[in-house]
Amino acid sequence: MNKNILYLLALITAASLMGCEETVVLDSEQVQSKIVIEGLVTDQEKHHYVKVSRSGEFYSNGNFSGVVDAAVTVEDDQGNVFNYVHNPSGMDDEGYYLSEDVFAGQVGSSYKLTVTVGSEIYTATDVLNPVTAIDSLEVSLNEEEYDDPEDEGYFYEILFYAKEPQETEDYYLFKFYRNDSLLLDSETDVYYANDDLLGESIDGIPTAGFYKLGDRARVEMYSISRQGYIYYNDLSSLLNTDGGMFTPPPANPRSNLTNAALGYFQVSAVVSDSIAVE
Amino acid sequence: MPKRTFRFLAIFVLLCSVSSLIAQQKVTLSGYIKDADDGEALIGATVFVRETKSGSASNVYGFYSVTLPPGKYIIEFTYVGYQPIVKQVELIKNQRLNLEMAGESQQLEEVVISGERVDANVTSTEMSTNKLDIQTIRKLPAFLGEVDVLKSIQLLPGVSTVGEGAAGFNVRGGGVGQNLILLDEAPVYNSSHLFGFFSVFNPDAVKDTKLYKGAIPAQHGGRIASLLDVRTKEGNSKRFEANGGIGTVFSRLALEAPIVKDKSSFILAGRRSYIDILARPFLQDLGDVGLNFYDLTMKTNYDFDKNNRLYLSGYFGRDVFEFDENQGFNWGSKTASLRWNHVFNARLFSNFTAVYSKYDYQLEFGEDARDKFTWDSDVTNYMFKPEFTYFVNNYNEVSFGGSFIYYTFEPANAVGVSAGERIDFSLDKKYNLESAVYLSNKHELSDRFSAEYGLRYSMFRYLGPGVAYEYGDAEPGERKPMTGVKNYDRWETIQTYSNLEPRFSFKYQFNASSSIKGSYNRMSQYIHLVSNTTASNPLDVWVPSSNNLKPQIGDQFALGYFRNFGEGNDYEASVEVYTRLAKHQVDYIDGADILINEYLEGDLLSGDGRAYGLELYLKKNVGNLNGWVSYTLGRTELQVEGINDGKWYPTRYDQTHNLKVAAFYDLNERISLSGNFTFVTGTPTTFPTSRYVVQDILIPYISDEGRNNIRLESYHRLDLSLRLEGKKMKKGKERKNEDYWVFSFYNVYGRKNPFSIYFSQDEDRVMSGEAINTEATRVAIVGTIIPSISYNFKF
Repeated sequence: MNKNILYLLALITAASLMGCEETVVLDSEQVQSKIVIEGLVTDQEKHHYVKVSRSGEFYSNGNFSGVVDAAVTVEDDQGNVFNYVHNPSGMDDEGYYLSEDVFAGQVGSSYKLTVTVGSEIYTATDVLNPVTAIDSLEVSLNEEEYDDPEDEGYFYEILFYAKEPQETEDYYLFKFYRNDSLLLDSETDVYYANDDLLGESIDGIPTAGFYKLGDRARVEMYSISRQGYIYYNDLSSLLNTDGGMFTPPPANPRSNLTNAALGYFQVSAVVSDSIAVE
Repeated sequence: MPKRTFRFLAIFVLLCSVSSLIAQQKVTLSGYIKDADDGEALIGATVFVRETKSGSASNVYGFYSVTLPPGKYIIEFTYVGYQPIVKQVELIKNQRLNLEMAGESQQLEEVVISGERVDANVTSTEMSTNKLDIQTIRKLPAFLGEVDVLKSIQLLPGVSTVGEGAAGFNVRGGGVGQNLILLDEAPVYNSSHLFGFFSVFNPDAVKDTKLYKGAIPAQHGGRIASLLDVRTKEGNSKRFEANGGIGTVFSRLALEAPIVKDKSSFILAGRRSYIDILARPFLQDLGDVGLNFYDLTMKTNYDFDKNNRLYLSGYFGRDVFEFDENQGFNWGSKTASLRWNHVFNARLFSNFTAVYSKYDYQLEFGEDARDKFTWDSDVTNYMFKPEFTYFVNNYNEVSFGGSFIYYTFEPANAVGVSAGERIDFSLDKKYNLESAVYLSNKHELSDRFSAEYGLRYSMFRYLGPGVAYEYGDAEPGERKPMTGVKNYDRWETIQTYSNLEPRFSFKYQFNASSSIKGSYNRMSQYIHLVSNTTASNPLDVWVPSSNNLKPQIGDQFALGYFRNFGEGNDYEASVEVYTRLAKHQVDYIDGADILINEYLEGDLLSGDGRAYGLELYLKKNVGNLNGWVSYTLGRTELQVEGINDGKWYPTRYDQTHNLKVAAFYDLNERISLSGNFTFVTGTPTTFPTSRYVVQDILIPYISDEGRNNIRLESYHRLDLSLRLEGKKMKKGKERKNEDYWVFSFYNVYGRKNPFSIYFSQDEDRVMSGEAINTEATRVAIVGTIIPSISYNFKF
């Protein structure tokens, strides 16, 4: 809901800024790098990953340094411990850890991540909430886009149908793919939602982006916890600051990681559906 | 009622009775001072008694009173820009003397003695105040051809703004919401049109503006930084008059006329912008955007008899942004004030004010009636203010009275409709009562030494019906957990606060042309402007003090040296230093949700503020070339547990150097030039210090001590304008109408003054392991020279 307000405010900003924008180079400050952790446990039976890296200077270019000597474990609330090993196949980048064994997260369980780097210990806990099913996807021709397509041939949109459980408070994260590559309307988009403004029937909400004939569209829907929603909401605000008069000063996303680590450890149930654009 | 209030009242009564006892064998000369041309009351005209070398000044309604032993006196009445009047008066009993003073350019029948220039800069006990009459404001170069009250006061020392596009103004390191802005006694909650480019005060209707940056008299309270007192005209009581203008942004028309000659008059002034029509070509890609503002200012008055006058004034204005029929945003204020001046006797003047004031905004967006969202919010108040001035004798002027304000806050009346289903997000209204009593005395202790001292006792009640939440402790900077809920019935008190606010100022005069002045005042503020944006904007939320939010307390100390130079005080100069300390300053946690948040108070933080500075001011009053230079060296900081690692950080409006120059030059009878130059140190802003990647998203990181960690580049700007008076004669005859053209250039050398800097990423999203550039983008609101032209008329 507030996202919609912000959208309107961004429009006003655009309308009222007769001025101009320019890229400038600032003196960069020397700041100590921080540990960055991301991880995802889903209800799918697979090797789950955790990535450990360090932050870089604002103007630093090049690869982010992965941390290769961390000890990584995930423990569920039943006392099961899953060990993670660094890049077991040697195929991934530095800093990628995969669970030794395949496992599937259980709906209703909570999971605790522990990452030890040297003498520092970082932990995070998240809970696996259920996710509602995707009823169906539908291909529809967008007339406005057909008349004036941004990219030639891309004027089909995917409509999304589902039932939103009204008795629970739910939070969702969405990922949209076009032929297996992530699709975003804008580079800084994050697709997440709470159910404040959702009625029971979600009837044909358009997903991001446009498709051409012959494309394959896929939608992934993740359940996230309330703290996950806060994280993605903060992240979206941070990425979308536009320097206009309605923009708050930038603030770091609130994370579930302890010991001032950056990033987020997410536990989700996930459902997906795909459709061919014909 | 607390005990100390009783004590306060006891002293108050005692003082009054003692005073009248002393003054019994004296007689009083009193009356109203008006402009001879249009009948407007003159505010602050000086009344000087030659024999006793003492004097008084007319108040905001033009009333004056001097009390003397019976005898013969020569009395001088002076007012800047007007012909002085000298009267010989034989005072036997109380006498009423109403006067009409004529402007310097007008011929008049009274005896003219070229008296001394008014030297109030040095002689008055007032300090840290600046008065701008509308004539001066009119001479300044105008943005888009339109003069503006708030733009003009920003040229004074100690006053600043974050930049173009920022609403409001900052005084001596105070926030935008810490200024009390009164329009004919009615509080104005948002003084801006069009995001601060214009103010709500229509210059055609404004008579006088006075800014108190410190030494605020006990009569006023409720905000901790400053008081801007704007008074409108009564309307010409002699004849019909119309003023108007056609400019590049808006057109104005003001009508004034007597209703009953010399007894009653009115003024009606309106403006309507047509920026939407002009801006359309630039906004094409945004569709059918509507963007405009309008306002109406009106006032009427009636003189019942020599002791009773009634004034009724009102303001109504709105800003409208419309994207299409389903999406838009508008905001505005409404104020109405009814004032009754009653002269009890020659020495006791009173004014009773009843005020209604409301600020509200409305947002609406969506696709159609089945999918939309509407939200409105307002703050409304009703106020009653009895005020009395007792002219005890020539050396004491006692003011006393009170103020009672009833507030209703509607934080959100919000409804969403999704696929036809209606969801209500509205928050409960909040009710408050703010009351105060005050007593103060202007005391002339000797020829050289005078003081003004007073006390204000203020009290604030947070009333039911309502739900009060209690919050527990949290790590500094994190959302506080809700620990309790209490329901309250109508009129039940949820929380009460009270404060004693001492006010003191003095003047010691070394000689006719130099003096030293000092002041201390304590102010308390019970309602807070919460803003989480770069600069103040129309959606900022006013919230009342509550069980979780304490009132702000501000203490200010100021010391100044005042000096006049040259023949007849051609130059005025002053040096002032100030220190402000503030408690319970409102800030918020990272990621705080300011809009439509029932648990907002759990996201708010409280901290300390401090500001100090040096202000220099030099003004040349006479000659073809006149104007002023003002310079402020200042610092303003906050310390809030949970922000910036608990360390002091500069506020968003901290500006080290602030230099303003305003100059006026009369080339000849018809052409005058004016210019102003501004140089201000760049304001601080928050910018990321490092970056990292999570889920292939490049994320900037702001260090824990990163609040307002970088400064924007300096702001500087030159504006020029040329005023061409219409010909006075036409075909050998004198023209009835007056008219003039104003050609103005804003930002003459086209500097792109920065408003903000934000993080952005270069082009494509990074793929794993691939390098990506992080960028800083600077935003300027005005990036070019803006020429404009306006045609103005009067008949």
